[in-house]
Amino acid sequence: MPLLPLLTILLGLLVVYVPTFYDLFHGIWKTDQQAHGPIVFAVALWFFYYKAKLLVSTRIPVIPAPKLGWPVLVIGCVLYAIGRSQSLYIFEVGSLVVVLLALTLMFFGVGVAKHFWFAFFFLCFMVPLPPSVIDIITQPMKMAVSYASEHLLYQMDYPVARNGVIIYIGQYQLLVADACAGLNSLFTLEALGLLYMNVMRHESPMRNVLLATLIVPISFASNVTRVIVLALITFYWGDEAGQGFVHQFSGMFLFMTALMLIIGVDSLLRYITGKLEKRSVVAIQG
Amino acid sequence: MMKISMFIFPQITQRKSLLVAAILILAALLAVKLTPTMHTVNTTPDLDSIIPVEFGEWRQIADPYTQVGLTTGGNDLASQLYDKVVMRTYANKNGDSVMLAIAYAREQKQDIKIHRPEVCYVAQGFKLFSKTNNIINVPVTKPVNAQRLLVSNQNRYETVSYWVRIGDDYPANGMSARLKILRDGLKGKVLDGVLVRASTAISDPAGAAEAYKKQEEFLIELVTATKPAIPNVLVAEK
Repeated sequence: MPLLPLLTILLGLLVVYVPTFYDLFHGIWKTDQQAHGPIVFAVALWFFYYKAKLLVSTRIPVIPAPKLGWPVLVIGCVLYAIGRSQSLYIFEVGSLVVVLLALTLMFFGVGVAKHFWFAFFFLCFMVPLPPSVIDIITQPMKMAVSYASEHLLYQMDYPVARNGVIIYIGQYQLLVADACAGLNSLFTLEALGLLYMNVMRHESPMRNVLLATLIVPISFASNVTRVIVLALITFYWGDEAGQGFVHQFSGMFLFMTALMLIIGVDSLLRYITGKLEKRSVVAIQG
Repeated sequence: MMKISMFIFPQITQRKSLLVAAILILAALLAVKLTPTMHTVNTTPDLDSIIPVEFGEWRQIADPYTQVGLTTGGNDLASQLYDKVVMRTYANKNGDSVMLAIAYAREQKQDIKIHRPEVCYVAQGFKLFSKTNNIINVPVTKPVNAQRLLVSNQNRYETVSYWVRIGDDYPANGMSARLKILRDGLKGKVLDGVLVRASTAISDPAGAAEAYKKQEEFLIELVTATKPAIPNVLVAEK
């Protein structure tokens, strides 16, 4: 296997995407709203590797499809040029998915591209959505999270009040920002959940559908947990502690909570379906 | 003995890979070429001193309310989005008062652009009741495509008259602002932008029509008074 052609392609990719990733890591990925970006990117890379390892043992034939690959590559490049020059991240980062797909089609063909479909799909979650889109879609979620957090804190006898998405606790006020209820975190959690299922390869389709649906309330619950933890930290240790938490741990905290809930719910589902199956087996035998 | 795997890595010729790399590098160059660099405005006007404390029948007074912020987030975001912000309250001799907020930014980009009041108010806990289009005929310049909002939170109703100017246009919503920036951006132009917002707190929505009328008079006088010093900052040039 000659390495030189591969290195040539890699060089082209680096010229195009190193500036993009430099900007992402130094700009938008540092904001609360898009903090999940690097996590998704890292997981996507791992997933590509994971799928590539599986590929070796499959019987998927390699039939290069250059007639499909070249046009897709050109489309990806045009998207990139417009997106990069006009600071339209959705095109600039989105073009990476298109370009990678083009290269896969060109050299490996449709079958292999299909084998990787979930990896490509997952990579889309890395694309930063425009803030205005996020604002519009997250508003109801923010409201619901604020509402639930206020009521739970009230049940715990804390002095809370709420005005829209602003929660007052003691002398402090907290603005439930996009990060705390983000569509992106919902999307990302949904993606992580689907990825989890893809890797675990459950036999039962029922369980997959159930789990995919349950990720929405799970995301909601983890967001509420995060807001409550944040409110309590602010209440007991002051504004600065709360802000520190926001900027350092709360994103991680959200993902940890959600992941644990996903695994917990999944284990529960496995337990229940296991019981049901056993019972039906017993019923058949009896 | 060699292990035989079912998957055979395809042969990639150097010629093909060179072509791929060339297309990619071409895209990178095209992106550089397309990046807009022509600024329509070179200096940020010092609005604090240019906006007069007194014009027409209006005179600046001490602020009775804290105005609703100009972004969906906090002050950090405001300093990141805007180069200049002016927030004042004016009153006439009848005792009518109007809150004025102006946010100016020298560069409008897809990811860093003016936040629209209908988004800011809602993000800060207000409920949006109505948004209507209202063309303001300013004698000294071309008609301004302004918007009227009626919002409320638990304490008060607020009527808002505002416009967002981006370059020579007054986009009525976020999407048309984006398209404006994209169209001019592809021509190489970096547009400036401004939000001019007049708002009045009212106790009863029945008073909205009266408040809008006052705001319109106020804004026309503001534009007329500042036109000689800054012909194309608050409004587009004729």
